[in-house]
Amino acid sequence: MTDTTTPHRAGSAGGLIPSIDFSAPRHRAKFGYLLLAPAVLLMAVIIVYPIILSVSISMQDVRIARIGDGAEPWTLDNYKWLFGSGETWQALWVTFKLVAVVGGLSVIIGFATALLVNQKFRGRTAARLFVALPWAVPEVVATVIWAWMLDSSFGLVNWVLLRTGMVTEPIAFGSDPTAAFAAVCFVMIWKGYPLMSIMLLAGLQSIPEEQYQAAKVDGAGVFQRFWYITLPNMLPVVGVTMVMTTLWVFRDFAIIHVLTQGGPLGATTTLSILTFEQSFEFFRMGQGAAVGVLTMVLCAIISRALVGRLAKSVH
Amino acid sequence: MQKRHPLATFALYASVLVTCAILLFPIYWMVVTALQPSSNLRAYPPQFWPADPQWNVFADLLAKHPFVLWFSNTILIAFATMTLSLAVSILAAYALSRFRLRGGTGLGLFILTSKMLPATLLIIPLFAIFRSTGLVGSLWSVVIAQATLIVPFCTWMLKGYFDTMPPELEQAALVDGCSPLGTIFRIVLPVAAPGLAATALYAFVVSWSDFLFGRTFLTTNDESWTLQMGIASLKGEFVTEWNVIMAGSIMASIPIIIVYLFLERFLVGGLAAGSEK
Amino acid sequence: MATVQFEQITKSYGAVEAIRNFNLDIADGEFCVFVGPSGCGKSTALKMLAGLEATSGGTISIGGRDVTELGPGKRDIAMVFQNYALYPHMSVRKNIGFGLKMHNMASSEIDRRVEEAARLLELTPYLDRKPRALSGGQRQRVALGRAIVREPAAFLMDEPLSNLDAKLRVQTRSEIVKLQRRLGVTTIYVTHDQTEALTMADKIVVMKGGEIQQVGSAEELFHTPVNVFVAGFIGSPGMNFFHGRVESGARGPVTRFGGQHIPLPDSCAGMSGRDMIFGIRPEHIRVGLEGPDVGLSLVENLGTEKILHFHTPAENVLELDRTQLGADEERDAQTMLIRVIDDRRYSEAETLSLAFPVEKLHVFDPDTHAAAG
Repeated sequence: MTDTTTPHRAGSAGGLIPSIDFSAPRHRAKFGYLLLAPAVLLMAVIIVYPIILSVSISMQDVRIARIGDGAEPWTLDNYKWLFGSGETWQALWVTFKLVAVVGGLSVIIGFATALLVNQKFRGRTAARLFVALPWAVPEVVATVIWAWMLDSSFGLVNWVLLRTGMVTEPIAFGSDPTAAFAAVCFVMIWKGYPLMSIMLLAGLQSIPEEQYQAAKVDGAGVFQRFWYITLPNMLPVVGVTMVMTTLWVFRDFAIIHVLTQGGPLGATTTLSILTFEQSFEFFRMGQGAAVGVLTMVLCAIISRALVGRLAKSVH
Repeated sequence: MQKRHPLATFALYASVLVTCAILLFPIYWMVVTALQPSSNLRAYPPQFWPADPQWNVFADLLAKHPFVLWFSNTILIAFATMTLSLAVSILAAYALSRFRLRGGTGLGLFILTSKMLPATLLIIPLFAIFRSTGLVGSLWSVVIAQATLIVPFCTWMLKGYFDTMPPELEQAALVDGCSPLGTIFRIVLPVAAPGLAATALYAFVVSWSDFLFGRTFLTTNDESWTLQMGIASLKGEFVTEWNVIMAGSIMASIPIIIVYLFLERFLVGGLAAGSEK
Repeated sequence: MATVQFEQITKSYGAVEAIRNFNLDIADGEFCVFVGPSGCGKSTALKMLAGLEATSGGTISIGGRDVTELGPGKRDIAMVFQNYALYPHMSVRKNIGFGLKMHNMASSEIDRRVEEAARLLELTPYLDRKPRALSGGQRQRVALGRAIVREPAAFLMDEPLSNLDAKLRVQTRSEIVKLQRRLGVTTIYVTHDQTEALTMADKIVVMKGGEIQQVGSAEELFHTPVNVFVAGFIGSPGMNFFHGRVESGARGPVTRFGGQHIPLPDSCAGMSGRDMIFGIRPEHIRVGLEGPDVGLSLVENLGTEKILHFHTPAENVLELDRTQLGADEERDAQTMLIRVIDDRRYSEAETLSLAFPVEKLHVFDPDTHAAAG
């Protein structure tokens, strides 16, 4: 029985460092550092060190990385390949196209949905719950559902398109580059618009009702109120959500990997897919890391825009 | 409030219904497909209602694939990630919220930016580290890798929550003779319970849905596969049995859809706060 | 029950000194109020006494024991916060008993003490409710209950009334005083409201810019303020100030106010030729006698009393801002006030003759702002 009580005592910081009373005013800050220590250590080991490691891998001719194998000589070959090869430029182009299409369309769908469920009606709570449901569906599941719906022989989408006469032959979403890109867009928008609409809804609800009432008193119609009150108030939120969606599209892996594996002919190979492909399919981790570092720099620039905006909104 | 015109009311309900129907159709289609007999899947026109629901598809799934193993691996990873990340995040978030520490602002900014790191970059060095430590193929590799995403996010979310709590609560407890650590357990955590629940569930959902880390670190070891890896592998098989895949997808979505339906309010509040701050 | 001493307490945040040279003795059982405008350091001083903030120098003792390096829980104090800081997840009973539980008291004894405190504060019917199910006044009483049940050496109260509405505030004010008299526990009370300070305290500590300006009873602060700030801060409304040169008149020292001579106290005899600051309380100005004529700019009728405003004659206006005058936001150096209680009707633009009774006139040094003479 005596032994089983020790964990209790060990749980209090006093047992470890008996001489310091952390409730004393002079030692309270030390308690703060102590609380922070696990997170700082963890992040140093699993984030900071890996980032440094990946920069170093990107400057070595590494096939399958392993620490302690003895460092390879430093080289810039991976970066020469990075900027010299058409693959990188194509991946950049695909990424930006995807960002533009997914970001643009999901903000429109998200905004429209947010406006709709911001109206007063019976069942509004349930409607809000449902429109945001795709957010909770795992990406892989979302992707296989869409893969089935977009199936070139028996998929529902092709049936609808044929039936309505919009196409005469089924679209081969798997082998046609444009169609494959469109397929990726479908899944990403479906998965991405709910977060958009959740955040835009929060933004809509934070617009003071008085502004609308004042505008009504001044005789502004529905569209004028939208144009002069809703839109200006929502611009910062739209900006933040756009940046977040951009980052998500930049970094996402599961959807494209499961749906098209970056194909056909690299039509859906984004920077993330290229990183993975180089590192874990062609086992050229040095080159993969170089793509990753480029992605990180681009993400840092984009998030810098976000952080700057946030810093401004705080003041 | 003025009364809405009946026509406007009709238009409103109609557009809500149509919007929900379109947006949720894929989820409906998942369920319908799962319950169709496999012969119907190749039928033209497609069957929009399972006239003869085939419940034994779930039995098929369990018989043909190690679904139970995938499921339990995923649960183990999700719980371990949730517990580990939360334990670390709670303490850090509390320290960042309550103490004016040297380097605190810098650390806050670091956390904010590391939420935006591309995971595809991190998997390369993590793979190197796990290979050297023999963790490739072990569930722990995914737990640790997921912490890179989840710890920063949870810390930020919780800090936002702690910031809304008056510090006088803890001051009162200190004056009442409670120790600083006791203050966290007796006052801060119980009061922050809704925020903790939201954060924990967020961590659970993110971990459950992970594909990249599992695909990278666990592929070589069949015993460690997760649900998402399993489902993705079913899609890649030579003969695609869509009804079985959809049955698996239902099973893989149900836990987090339930979590979502129960805790949407907290999650939405937490996400909105976490993203705007 | 105990005495409380601050010796040479300082507090600085980096290069900024929030508290300087803070020395204070509070006697056993005394009700001591720290009062001053926001940012004067009164709350910081209280938090240092509570052990919630570290001191940068000096010693704090409670009951003769040096507590400077002790944690809040080891100082034998209880504290009431402005927002009450009730634990929202605990019932009233648990809230009140929490401090006793933390001091390892037997649960039967905790129950007994909690019930007793609840009876005293008329909280018995609410013991099993959560704080959110209570009104503002009830929450405030729970916060008091949490303090008294501990039977501490000292009560610390940080603006405990400022979240109550005006009527309840006045009522609770007297209840707190009665409670304190009955328990006889040394109390340190922080407020920005000088009325609260005057009505509640045995000892008032007026603070400004991190420094103690004056320590004394309500009487002393009202009648013999040591400087311009205390004179302007204490009283409602606070003291009027004007500027003038001391001259020798036929019957003793005089100064000019609006062109007319007004007599000064004899103590000014030696200051002939010097520019001084003069102060007179609004209730001490006499109306309708021989003296300087002024035109009223505003009449505020408050029922029993009236506040008459007039412009300070241009040559008498002080070049000081209101923070130096201890005045609230409605005052400025260009306007003087008269407080009258009579049935006469006053109208704006009316001209009145005023007299400043010589024994009620205060004289301050224009450089140090300290009382002179």
